[in-house]
Amino acid sequence: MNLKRLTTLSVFTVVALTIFMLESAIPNPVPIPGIKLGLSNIVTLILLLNFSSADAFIVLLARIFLSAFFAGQAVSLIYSLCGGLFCFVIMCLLNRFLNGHFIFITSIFGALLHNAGQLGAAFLITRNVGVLAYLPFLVLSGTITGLFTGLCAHYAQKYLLPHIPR
Amino acid sequence: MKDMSSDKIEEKRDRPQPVFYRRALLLSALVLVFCLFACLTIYFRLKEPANGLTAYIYQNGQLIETIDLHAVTTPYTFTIPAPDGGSNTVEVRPDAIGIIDADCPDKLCVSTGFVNSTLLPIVCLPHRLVIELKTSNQSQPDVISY
Repeated sequence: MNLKRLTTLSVFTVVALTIFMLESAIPNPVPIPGIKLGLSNIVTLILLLNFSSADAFIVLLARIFLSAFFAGQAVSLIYSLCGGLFCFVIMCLLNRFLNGHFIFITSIFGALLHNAGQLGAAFLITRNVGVLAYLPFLVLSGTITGLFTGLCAHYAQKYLLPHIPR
Repeated sequence: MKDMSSDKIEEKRDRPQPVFYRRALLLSALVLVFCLFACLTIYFRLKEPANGLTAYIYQNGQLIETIDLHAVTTPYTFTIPAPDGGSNTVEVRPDAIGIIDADCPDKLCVSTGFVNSTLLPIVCLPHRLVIELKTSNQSQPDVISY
């Protein structure tokens, strides 16, 4: 890993971590566990579009571990990892499938799979079928939040990134 | 001249080819189908009767307490210790149940508030605690179909 790549990825990790911490400081308006905007996914999307999947994966993993360290919850690491990995795999595949176009659709599927992964982890940990009652709510919320973060990434890609020297 | 041609290439790459429009349409339709299923599931679960509720409290997947909420006349609270040392304080009211205090960091179970329907269980993930409500007459099976 050369110095330029390391620095670029570090900067993106810091951006993702900052977004994550800011978002977690906002109180959740919906009292359903698992519903959140997932704004730090914007960074993953931007990296998938402009860099390689490997770069996006490194930043995602660094962000997940660092955020668990900063938020100080060991149990949330399992959910974050499960959701993050599911989300990353589907976004990688769809980004290839759509050749980098329609990033908001990739983002919606990412959010859906993220929620599904977290619910799966919750099911495995509580071993209770009842938690699956959250699934329809998480599908709806994932579609809305995924569309939102996807559009954020779309416009960041269109208007913001051309001004950043590379 | 060279700039113009590269601009054209840029423009061509910017506009998705028809095949990607078709793929995007397909995926959007898939999302819509998911959402439709979710709405239908929520709609039918909202129509489930909410009388004669019984609360089933699970810890680590094991049933540790059953409370007939309809038989409750005066509210009371009790504390469920978690295996890792934490605890949840549960308040039982006539036809409703809720977690009023917990020492987990996110307190999502507390913000869920009191539930009086079968729609959603109360979950405390850090303490692996689930409080599920079911109607007491168990003649009809659980309709959870995804």
